[in-house]
Amino acid sequence: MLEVEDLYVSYGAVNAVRGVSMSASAGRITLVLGSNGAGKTTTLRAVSGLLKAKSGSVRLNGKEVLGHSVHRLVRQGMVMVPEGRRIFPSLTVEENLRMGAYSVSRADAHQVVTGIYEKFPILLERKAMPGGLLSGGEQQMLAFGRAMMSQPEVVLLDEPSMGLAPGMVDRVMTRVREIADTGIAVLMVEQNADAALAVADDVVLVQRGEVVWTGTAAEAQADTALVHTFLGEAALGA
Amino acid sequence: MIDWYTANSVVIQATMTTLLLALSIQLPLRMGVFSFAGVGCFGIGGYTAAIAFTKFGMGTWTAVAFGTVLAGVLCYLLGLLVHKLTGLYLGMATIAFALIVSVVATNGGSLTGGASGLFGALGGITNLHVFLLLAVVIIGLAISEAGRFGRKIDTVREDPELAVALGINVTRYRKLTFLASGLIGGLAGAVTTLLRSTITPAEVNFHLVVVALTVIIIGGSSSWLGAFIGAVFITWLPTVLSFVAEWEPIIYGFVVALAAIFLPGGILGLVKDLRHRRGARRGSTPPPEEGAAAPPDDEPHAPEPSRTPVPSQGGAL
Repeated sequence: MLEVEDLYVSYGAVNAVRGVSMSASAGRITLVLGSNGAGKTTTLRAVSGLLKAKSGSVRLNGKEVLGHSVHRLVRQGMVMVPEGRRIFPSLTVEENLRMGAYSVSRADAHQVVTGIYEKFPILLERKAMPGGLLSGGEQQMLAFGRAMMSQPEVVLLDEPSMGLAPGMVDRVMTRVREIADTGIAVLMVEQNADAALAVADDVVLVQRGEVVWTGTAAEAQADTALVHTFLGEAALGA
Repeated sequence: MIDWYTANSVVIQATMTTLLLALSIQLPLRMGVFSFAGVGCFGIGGYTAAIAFTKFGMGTWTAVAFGTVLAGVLCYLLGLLVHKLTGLYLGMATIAFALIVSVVATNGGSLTGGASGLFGALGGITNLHVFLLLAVVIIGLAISEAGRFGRKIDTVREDPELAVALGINVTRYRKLTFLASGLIGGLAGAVTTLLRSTITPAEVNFHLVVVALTVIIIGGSSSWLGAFIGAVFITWLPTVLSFVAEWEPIIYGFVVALAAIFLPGGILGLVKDLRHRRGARRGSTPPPEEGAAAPPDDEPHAPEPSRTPVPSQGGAL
């Protein structure tokens, strides 16, 4: 379980994240919604260790991990999938997957790859293809699969639908749901509220670096005025 | 064969020392670290070995070891200072380091021999010794290019931020590459100096950066093999072109310019690309899976990627 409490992050004199608190439990998807510049990605990067937080607390399974280096956090069971389907285009699908296996032993890596292929059969079909030749949706699957190679307990997803065709977004969100259903805690930042709310369990609405609303996905979907107010009509695909 | 070796002994020796020098910058470039600190370390290793040999009466191999280790340590300390720099800024900082070594050597008084340099440092090094040292370095680099460790280095080069997100300690790798680069550069300098018996500030100046970079441009930065190809090419080209007399430098420059323009991955990159394309033609691309695999029209596929790694911060290459 991931618990974030009273997190502050600043860029020089600008406080980008102010007292943000949220949590992600095993098997559940916590969706962080907010408009551009709200502080969603900054929060995620600070939680993942990519960005230094000013103050606050990040606990992983009850242990304080704020300030831990990223490679240490990966070994402790938390991995981030950065935005923009970041893969290695010149490497094959299998090589890309094995790039994510640094925290597992060499002996286990083969078994883990096999497990990833079972979860993402399309990657097995494409395993000898260079990652750059995959479609956008397949590249996102590859990024998910690579993150799963470290056998994480918590996965941080930064805008997984970014740049994808509308038809592909729902498929990607379905995969996110499947990842959570394996018992992994998912903390997902997303602007496509309509698609993300369909699979999320809990919602945290962020505006100008502060949490302005928390609740379940069902409550957020029921209260469309709330989402309209903070994200605009486009967020719900209106 | 023996006659050929005897006639070309000096060129073979120059090929091996040039290759050692080139490897000192090939390693960081392979990791995406645009550093020429290995060239400065060539000077440190050379001068340290010469001073140890001529002024302190150390044996050949003690002097070589002393020069190599000191260069490695100083390069590591430099790495601690500059490892956060990237691209041209890092390149300039490390070129400045090489120039500082030359300036210190010029103004080092009797210790470094001033502008005249040091003479009489003829150690008991043979071509076989250099070959064995080179073999050790190449085996180490070949291991670093293979398997899990090689993939880590590829990751650090291709996307450092993603490498961090995957749990790789990129900072540690960047610092260690300075250490390894310094050790190889220092070894190259120490061996070269005790082979030739002299070292002067003019020999450890900016032109060494050009030589090392030319080797990498022609051969390719993705592997030690590229540096080997480049070292053979630029060391033997003047010999092959000797019949053109005074036109040789022009032809030499022309060939280097052509390689820089048309072979961005060097000769090795060209060979790998050709092999990759041949392999791609032989293999058949599996049909897209219905529904999930077919790329939408608005998701253009990436062009056929080159498998030749290019330093992410090394645009000038």
